Amino acid sequence: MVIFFQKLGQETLKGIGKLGRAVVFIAHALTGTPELLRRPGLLLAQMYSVGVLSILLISISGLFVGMVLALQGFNVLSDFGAEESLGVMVAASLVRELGPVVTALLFAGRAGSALTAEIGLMKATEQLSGMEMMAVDPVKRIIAPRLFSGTISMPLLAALFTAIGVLGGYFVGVGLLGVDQGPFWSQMQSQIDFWDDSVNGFIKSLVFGAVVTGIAVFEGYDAIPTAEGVSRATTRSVVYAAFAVLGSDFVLTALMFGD
Amino acid sequence: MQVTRTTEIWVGAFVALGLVALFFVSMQVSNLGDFKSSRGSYVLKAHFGNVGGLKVRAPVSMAGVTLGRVERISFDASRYEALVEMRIDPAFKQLPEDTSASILTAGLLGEQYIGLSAGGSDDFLKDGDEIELTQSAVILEQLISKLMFNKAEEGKTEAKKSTRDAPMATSAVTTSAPRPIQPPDAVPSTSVVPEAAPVPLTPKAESEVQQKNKSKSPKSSHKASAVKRSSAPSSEHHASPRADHASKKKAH
Repeated sequence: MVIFFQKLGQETLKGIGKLGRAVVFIAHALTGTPELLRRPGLLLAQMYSVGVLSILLISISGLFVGMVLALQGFNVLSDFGAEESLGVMVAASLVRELGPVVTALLFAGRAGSALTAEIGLMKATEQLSGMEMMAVDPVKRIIAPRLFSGTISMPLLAALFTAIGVLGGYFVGVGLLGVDQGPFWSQMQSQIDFWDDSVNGFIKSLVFGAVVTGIAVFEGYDAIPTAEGVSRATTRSVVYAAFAVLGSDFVLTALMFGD
Repeated sequence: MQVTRTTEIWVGAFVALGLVALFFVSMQVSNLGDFKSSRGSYVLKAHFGNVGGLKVRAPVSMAGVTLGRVERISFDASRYEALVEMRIDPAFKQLPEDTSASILTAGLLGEQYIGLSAGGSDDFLKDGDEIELTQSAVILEQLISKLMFNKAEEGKTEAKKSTRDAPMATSAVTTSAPRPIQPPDAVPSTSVVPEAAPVPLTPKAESEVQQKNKSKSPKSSHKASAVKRSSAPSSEHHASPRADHASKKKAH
């Protein structure tokens, strides 16, 4: 019995300790902002590996998600004779939810895991301590550019996902299923509000970007510096990022669309 | 990782692509494109006894063409009415002063919007002016209850007709009796009723409404024009006293 309580206490303290390390770590990384502004090349290189290399994945996923939405939505809406609302349905679900959330999940799998593995391996091969020996702060030099590039790339990728998804819905709805294109666009434009929908979706994707990259770099930095430790950290990074995205999505949705 | 020219070009293309997508989402998908030239647009106000499900940003239209949007809906505590502010596009500057506004529903269960119909005045509405002639939203439940009440009343008069069998009495009953207890907003008693009330009633109920209008129109229209709706609560009394008291009780 006592052992049970001891274990529980141990786990709780471990969790709190990790949370504290994460907060200190992220705050430390944010102090690297001025240095990053002086050397934008660091950011650029990370934008390439985090953002540019994700374009293909995000575009193709967005296209198919939009097409599937149009197909499914058409089946339901045609029962009510409301096929013209297909555009609203596709656009609303993409702009508000699917765009930010699915992009963040894909981003966690594509870019987050890579970041964790990279940083974890740097730690395992003692590159980070090597930097410290050379009086270069690895958190400012390695972590900060990655954190910022992820936070900047994610909204752009989510917007790309949404735009391509709407176009995919348009191709299927108008091209394949014969919905009239006039109401498709006009109903979409009258129902989707710029501030309530587009901007809120953008804010969501920004938050998700920060959350996913933050978790990824912290898990990499906090990994046990062995082959096994790095592999575990990579798994944890994706799992935690998915939880955090879906959980914060609920909170953000409740705040934005709750009333 | 070495930052090469290719990397820079790729990142630039990525950012540009993302911005284009954002632009697409805001302009093509959402409604930022509408009324982006809000410069020169002007605000009109109107009091409504009941706005129903009217929302901010609902369209304001005349003859089916959208002229502007609802900007603000607030409660006017001095009149116990809703105050709606509409922002009208500068292209539609020449709305006659006696334009009337009514809250209508798009489709059977669709969104509610404000429909304007032009009057004949030569003077035009200016920024901040109030539309005096208004008609509240039609509340479906009140419509149904009114209909049912009328039906019940009809049954009563039928019964009386058969029992009394006096021609004088029946004529008196039919003209004076059918004054149903009204919820305060079923017919916009506070505002001057436009000639053809655009309330989709059954033929029976419609004739009833018209009859009622006729019976009170000489007094009410005269009085309303004299008072000019500025001291509305007092001018409300003649219209439907019982309903009025009920609404006052509720308000206090």
